[in-house]
Amino acid sequence: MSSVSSEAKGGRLESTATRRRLAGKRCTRRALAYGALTLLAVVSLVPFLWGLSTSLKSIDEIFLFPPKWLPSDLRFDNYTTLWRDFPMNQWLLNSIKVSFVGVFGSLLFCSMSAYAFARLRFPGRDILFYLFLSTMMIPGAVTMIPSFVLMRYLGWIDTHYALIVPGLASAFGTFLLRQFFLTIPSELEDAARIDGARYWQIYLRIILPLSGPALATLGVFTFMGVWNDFIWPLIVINTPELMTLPVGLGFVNDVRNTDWARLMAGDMIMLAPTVVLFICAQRYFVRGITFTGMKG
Amino acid sequence: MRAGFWFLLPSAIHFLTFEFGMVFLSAYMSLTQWDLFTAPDFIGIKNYVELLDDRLFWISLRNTVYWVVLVFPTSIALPLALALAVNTKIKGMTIFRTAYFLPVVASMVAVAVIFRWLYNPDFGLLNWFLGLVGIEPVDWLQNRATVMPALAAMTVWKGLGWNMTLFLAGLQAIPYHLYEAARIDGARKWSQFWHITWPLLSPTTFFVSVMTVIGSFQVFDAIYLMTGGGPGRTTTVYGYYLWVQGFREFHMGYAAAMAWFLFAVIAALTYAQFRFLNKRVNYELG
Repeated sequence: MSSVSSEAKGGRLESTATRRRLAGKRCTRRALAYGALTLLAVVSLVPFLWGLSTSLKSIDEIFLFPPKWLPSDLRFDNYTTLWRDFPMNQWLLNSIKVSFVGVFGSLLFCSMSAYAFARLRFPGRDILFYLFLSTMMIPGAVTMIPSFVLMRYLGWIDTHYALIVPGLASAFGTFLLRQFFLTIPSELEDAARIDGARYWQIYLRIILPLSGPALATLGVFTFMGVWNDFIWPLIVINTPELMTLPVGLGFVNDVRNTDWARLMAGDMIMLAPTVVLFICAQRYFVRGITFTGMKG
Repeated sequence: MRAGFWFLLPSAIHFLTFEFGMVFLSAYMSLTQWDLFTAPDFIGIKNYVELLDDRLFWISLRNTVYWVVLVFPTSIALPLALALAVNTKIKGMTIFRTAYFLPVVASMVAVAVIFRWLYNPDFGLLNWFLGLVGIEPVDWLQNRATVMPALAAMTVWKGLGWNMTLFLAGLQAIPYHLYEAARIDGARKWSQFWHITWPLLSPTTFFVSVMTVIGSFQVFDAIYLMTGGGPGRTTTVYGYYLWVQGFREFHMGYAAAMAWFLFAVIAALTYAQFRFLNKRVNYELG
């Protein structure tokens, strides 16, 4: 019976009844998916929204129970006093500076080494590549302590060199870019080489321009990592004026005052750039994550 | 040939200095007693011996194992379940993704402050919410029984989006026709999962598993920012104790030894996973 109707339907494998059932299933499937996503979105956002709400409240409204979501009068003075009492501009500037230089340096170093591993030939290339990769398994604690010693020896403690230089090259970045470079068709480079181009010209004029998405991905990742970095700047920077935003706000936090509104205000400031960056660069971020997951 | 050398040079110098060089320096330091202000004092493996006698070492180790037990299964099961639920054509995925990725990209400092307020026994949102269903308020961060789970929940919450994305990518790589064929053969949902999804997802699961183990054993930020190791020693995990020894007490050699011990543990666990789980990782069906 079903085989007759399947032929009548032009060779489809399922009968009408089955297809209707499947369509119904698809509906519930989608409902489940939307439900799960909504629940997840709510759970993910509520803490941040609560933080935002708290940052806009006056003192008496904070210690209300049951808690109030919408402050009856919006107070921005939590933000203004934060700026008044702490060197927020300096902290912001420091974070921006360290992040930008870090991203630029990382893109430069990693793209160069990725190009070497992907396209250039030299003895021991693959062994070296796996050696690079293996450093990803080293716990941060192992390198952190001697790095601190090295910073002290170089006199870089309490300077921004200590924040920027150790993060310039990364195995992750090299790995990501190398995987990408491998997908660029080598005919382009072969043609260029026949025309007499030198390697650095190929690198600059062919590889880099074609790698926009991959570079953007690495850039976004690096920026997030440097912007949010907490432990290392905490260890190497002592002067408040040189601190980056997370450390500075940790400092505000640490005064063990429970001025929650002000703390939340600081949080919102710190979160704003990452949120904006993420909204703009979302697909790069996702691509970067799935990229690392695929090849294992 | 020479081009390769020049292109590699910056990264190579960087790696030699900050990765390999550090590994060796750290190994050397672990064999010394050094407080950075006086010259290092070579003492051989005494640090390692002292570790075994150190009560706090064992406490921190035990706390860390507890942490991993709390975080590891949840970090895999929950995102996987979510990815399975969500693996359909969805409109507006970008908006959802922005929402569930926010915890991932947010700074831990910001998240810690928010959660400290959320967990507040008198005015926190969580206790208010629980109060709505009739549960008594809990002092989440001061109560020794609840503090670790509370911190673990925050950590899992923060990492949900990341792992879920990985699982989603893995799920979407599974060819649909396999499910169709199975359905025609009469396979039920559970059977489809067990015989198609799970095996073909195993590379992703394996990757997530390895990375989660490596990460959760090194936990520090959450502890430092939320509880400072307390109440008492309840949340003193290995990473935190290491930091205390190195950067508060300036027992640099001792801390370096701790770091190497951690390295050994992580390497052993990673190797074990590669050895025993990798066998069951299928890259193709059949």
